[in-house]
Amino acid sequence: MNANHTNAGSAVMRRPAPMDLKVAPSVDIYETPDAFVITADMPGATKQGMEVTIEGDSLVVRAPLAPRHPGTVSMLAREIHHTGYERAFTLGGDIDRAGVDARFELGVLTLKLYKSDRAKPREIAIR
Amino acid sequence: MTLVRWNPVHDLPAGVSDMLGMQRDINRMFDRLFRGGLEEEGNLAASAWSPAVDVAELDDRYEVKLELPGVPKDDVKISLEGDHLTVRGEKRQEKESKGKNYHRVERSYGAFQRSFTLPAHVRSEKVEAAFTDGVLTVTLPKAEEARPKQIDVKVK
Repeated sequence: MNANHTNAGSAVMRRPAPMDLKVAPSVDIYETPDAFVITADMPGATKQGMEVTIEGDSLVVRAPLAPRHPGTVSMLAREIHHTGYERAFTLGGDIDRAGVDARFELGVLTLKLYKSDRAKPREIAIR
Repeated sequence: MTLVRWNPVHDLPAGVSDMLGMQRDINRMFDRLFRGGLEEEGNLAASAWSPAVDVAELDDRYEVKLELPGVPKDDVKISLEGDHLTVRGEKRQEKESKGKNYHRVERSYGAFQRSFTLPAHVRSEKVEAAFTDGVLTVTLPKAEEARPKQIDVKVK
């Protein structure tokens, strides 16, 4: 029992890599006349592992990362600690739930959320 | 059921994880000040942002990985001078901003540069670089004399 306690203590001291550390990707969000566009920096994620789900008013982006350094003897510098990405967005009522475009290129996820017809700007003819 | 170490960073609201990101950047600055195992010579002022880097040592090579999302490969320049590796480039924001109303800009843009002095000689003619999903991997094979050697010792 005591031995176990000692082990746990030394494990904390060694500062092991976290088993599961999800970070929120940095995003830009802009609006065009017909859509909202979210671009998210997700380096190391893959198109196959990418998961984009809409449930009610919530849009969730998830992507796991594969281990990056198989066969490594030692790390000389380590700044990338996360093992995955996760971020949730709340959708306004003006977004058409059915019309979402997703693209993944150069480690950047681009989501295009189309506005519902009601929210699109339109000109009203004067009679 | 498995026992999982409690991780305070997981499942935090966005504001808190932003703060942790800031803390990470500050830690990195301190790391740079009090250089650890790897010597890095960077000019903070010359870079608008600084991509995160992992440097791994394997038996026969070094692997340098940089997070460069949204950077096309033509905008990255890799140079090796002796054992001194430099990666520089620019991450451009989309030029077309007409008709775009920005609500949020968290991503970093602009010029970046990172350089490293590797602890052992590398074979400069065999250095390779690959770009996959926003991660640049530079592979630098060690020179013959820098590889670990196995010597058989006979026991009499």
